[in-house]
Amino acid sequence: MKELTVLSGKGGAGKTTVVAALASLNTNTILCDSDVDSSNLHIIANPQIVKKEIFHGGYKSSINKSVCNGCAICYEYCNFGAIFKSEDGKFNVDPNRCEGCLLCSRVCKFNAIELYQSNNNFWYISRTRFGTMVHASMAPGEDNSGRLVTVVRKKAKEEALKVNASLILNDGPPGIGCPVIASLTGSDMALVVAEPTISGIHDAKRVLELIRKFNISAIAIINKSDINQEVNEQLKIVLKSSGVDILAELPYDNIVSKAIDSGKSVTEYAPDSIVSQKLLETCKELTLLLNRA
Amino acid sequence: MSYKIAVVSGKGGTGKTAFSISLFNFLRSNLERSKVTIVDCDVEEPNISLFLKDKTKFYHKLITQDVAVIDEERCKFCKKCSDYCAFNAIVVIPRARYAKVDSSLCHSCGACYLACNYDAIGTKQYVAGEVDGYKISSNSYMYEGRLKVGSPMQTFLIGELKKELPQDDTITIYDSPPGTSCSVVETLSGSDFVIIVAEPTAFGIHDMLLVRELADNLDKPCGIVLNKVEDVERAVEYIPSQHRNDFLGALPYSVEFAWNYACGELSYSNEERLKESYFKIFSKLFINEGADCFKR
Repeated sequence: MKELTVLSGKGGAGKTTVVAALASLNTNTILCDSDVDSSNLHIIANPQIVKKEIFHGGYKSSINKSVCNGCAICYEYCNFGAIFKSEDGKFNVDPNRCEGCLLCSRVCKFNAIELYQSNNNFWYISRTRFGTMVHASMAPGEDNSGRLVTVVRKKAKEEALKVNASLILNDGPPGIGCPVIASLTGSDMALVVAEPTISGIHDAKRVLELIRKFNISAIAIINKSDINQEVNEQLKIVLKSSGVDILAELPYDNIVSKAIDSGKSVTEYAPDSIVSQKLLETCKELTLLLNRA
Repeated sequence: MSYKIAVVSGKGGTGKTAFSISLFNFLRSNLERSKVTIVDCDVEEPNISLFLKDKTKFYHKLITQDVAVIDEERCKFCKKCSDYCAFNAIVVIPRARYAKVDSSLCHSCGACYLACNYDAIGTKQYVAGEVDGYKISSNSYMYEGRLKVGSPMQTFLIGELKKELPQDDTITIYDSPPGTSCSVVETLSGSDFVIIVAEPTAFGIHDMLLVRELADNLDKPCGIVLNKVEDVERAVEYIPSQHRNDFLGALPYSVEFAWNYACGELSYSNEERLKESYFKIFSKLFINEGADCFKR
């Protein structure tokens, strides 16, 4: 069983479009949506939830005002600026700044600090027409997305072992920060979806540097390859000089967004389009590459 | 007066950065007496500097994080520090006389330092990234945070970036990272108005609603711009009816703009449709909506 993680650095390059297409072309695959804070794969996969579990993440502090005597020791110790003095002379916690280190509860001599966990984050195991899918939902503004990504990937691996799946298709988050690192570590291969714009090139370089740091081999798909031919040539040079093979160059086609709006992958919606034909070839090539990885 | 506008999207690639820079250019050329600052808070993939070619760097700072380190000479391997650590960053194996902090998990909270009775915990500086400041024109500036590749501290860096900004009378535009998690919350913090740049696709509208909910939770007033729209006149129909009051306007999809954008040009001077749409949005934002920074 192999795990392929799809990344892009820059958002909107076409990760989810590629993942949905590969999912509809492959059999014996587990889908994993690691973009937990603004996930989109479910819009196409239309998952029927079989199992729903709460993800607690970490704790947050709050201050019981009837016990707080305003001594300010928690305020002094907090390294995140999460504790502030309110008008009544007592202290409050800003939940958006609290990182859940619990230090305030350890220094408070009056037991005024209460701890609570978020009940707004979930992970799911679902059935889809592409096979089993593991995904998650986070309430807007929550932290610990990296930890939730780790849980989702672990569950996807368990599901893959159960049905002896040959591939886990992991739809990663944009960027290169904590949730991306959590989605990448230990993957068998990374597929970078890149866009031929100067920002696309800049962002692809950074995500490739990250992938190299984890000693994971990378391959690439160029999306919207015809929006600027000159910049596309530059992108190809950057990818080739980084030793990254380009599996396909997909032209811009608004059939892709039409497919999204109808809840289908582009290969389901327009199987004869150039984009779909290229994705079909890519899928075959990927299978060979992953078997060798 | 100071006024802060955050530009967010939820989904990546909807045109946040292009919109932020266009707004920045509009403000700095129309408000000659005001100072205008644009801040690249997308520290994982900062792109604004690629589009602002005429600039002079006047400020640079390395941003470090104090990560805990254990002095194994002093350590008695009692494990109290690892019990105190809420992030599972400390591994202590007494039999092997092993005690280490995983720097990528450490939040620099100080709990282990408080726990240790043997003075065995110190700190070491780890680079999270850097902050650069650029002068763009006599009245305009650009600040950028740039996460070190491999660092998981993007939210910390955004907070540090904001601390480096001058605290004076200025109109500030925060260009946000994609998503709706803690790094976006950090970007929105302190802002007076939020502009959501969304795409009229199922993905774009789904994520726009998430980020709209986040702005609501944080009590921020909001405006919505739809980008890459085929029929500008009917664009509002993409927005669920309860949020249509927030609608600021729509920008048409333009092949020529996409070509220019690809090579780093955000010019739309030859594109009458786009120019007109931008102007309508900016006027609505600052005159009709009465966002305070134009009322002076």
